[in-house]
Amino acid sequence: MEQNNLEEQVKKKLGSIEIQPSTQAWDRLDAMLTIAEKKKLNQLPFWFSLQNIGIAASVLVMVTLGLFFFNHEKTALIPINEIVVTPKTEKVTIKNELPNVKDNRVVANDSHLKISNQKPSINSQGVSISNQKNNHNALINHEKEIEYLIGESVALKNVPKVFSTEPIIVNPKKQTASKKTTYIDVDALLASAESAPKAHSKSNQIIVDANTLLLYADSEVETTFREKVINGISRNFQEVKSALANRNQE
Amino acid sequence: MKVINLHQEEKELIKLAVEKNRHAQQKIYSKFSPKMLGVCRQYIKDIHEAEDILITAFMKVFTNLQNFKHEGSFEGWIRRIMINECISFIRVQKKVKFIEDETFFEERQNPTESHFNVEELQFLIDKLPEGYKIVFNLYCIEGFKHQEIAKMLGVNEGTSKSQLSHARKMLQRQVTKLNNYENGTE
Repeated sequence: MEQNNLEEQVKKKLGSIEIQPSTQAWDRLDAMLTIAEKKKLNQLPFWFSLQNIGIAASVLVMVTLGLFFFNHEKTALIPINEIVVTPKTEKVTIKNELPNVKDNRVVANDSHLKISNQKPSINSQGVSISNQKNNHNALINHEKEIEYLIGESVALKNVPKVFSTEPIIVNPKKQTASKKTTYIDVDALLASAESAPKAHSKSNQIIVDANTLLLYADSEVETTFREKVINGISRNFQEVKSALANRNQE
Repeated sequence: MKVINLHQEEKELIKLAVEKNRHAQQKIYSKFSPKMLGVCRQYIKDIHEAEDILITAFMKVFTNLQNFKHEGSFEGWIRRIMINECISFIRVQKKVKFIEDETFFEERQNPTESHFNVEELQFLIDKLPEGYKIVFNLYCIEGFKHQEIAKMLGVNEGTSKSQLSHARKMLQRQVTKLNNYENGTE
């Protein structure tokens, strides 16, 4: 068959034909390859400078903000960093110290003081307990507890405190008047008077927890160190950015 | 042993060329460029245009060399790139469009023996329209099946068959004309 014969001839002769390209062909290809490689090399930093720098900057900002808020929350919520000075509540017990009250019973429990007295005047010491209407109520006052924050602020906390009694009025005039009614032992009264300021002085002692103080100092050092590092990174980043920009402009 | 050594050598050369070694790239180019220019010449009549296609295709070869998996022959891989480049060039530059035509017929020819040299065969092929030429070359020289040709050109299988049929018919007319010319009857 001529057709098949022709096709066979085409396949045999034209299929294996070799034509030597011109000498300039390789030079052209070489030049094209060089340009392509240079383009690729130049494109990478350019791409990095525009897109990656943007991404890196946004990530850096996010991380910085995250660290800032994280630390902020930490200092606000965790009381480890605080040094709290709490005056201890003083429970006044008069019951044992005032044994010789005549017809009057002054009872003080752990949490509150009950004074059941129809005639409140005390003997020759001249100390009278007034406001008898409120005697049966628990006298709980909320004294403000002062928390000293180192170098920063003073926070106030409401802490329930058992207050001693109603205001004690020293009334020398009534002293004579009430002579007949109630008599308290002088020694006992003195002892009670002495014990009260002692307890109060105890409560004013500043209790400083060494561990919390150390922790607070550590956290402060950590934050300053972090700030230093972040500043350093941002400075370097700016330098690199400007260098890249200059290079790209060139 | 020699074949294994050659294969190993080619592998090493490819490895170096992937690493942008210009010497290795030049070696690959020197080895395959004459054959590949012959391939390009089958599709493109103008030798300068064929050389341009050769350079562009070799650029693609070197930029995509890392994708070569050493599964088939390296020459076949380069050859495929050359053919694809030629087809896309013809499609873009010559604005060739394949019209879907599935009306083909198998013609029977008289078994007259005739021998042609390379120039004559090349002349006959060059005379074919671009569409016919591409399908004829892909089918007869490269040995692709109609299904593969259809996939490469983005046409139906029937269109590929009809294009080949038309090409054969035209070639027959050309051969007859040439024979008559040589015999002095025309």
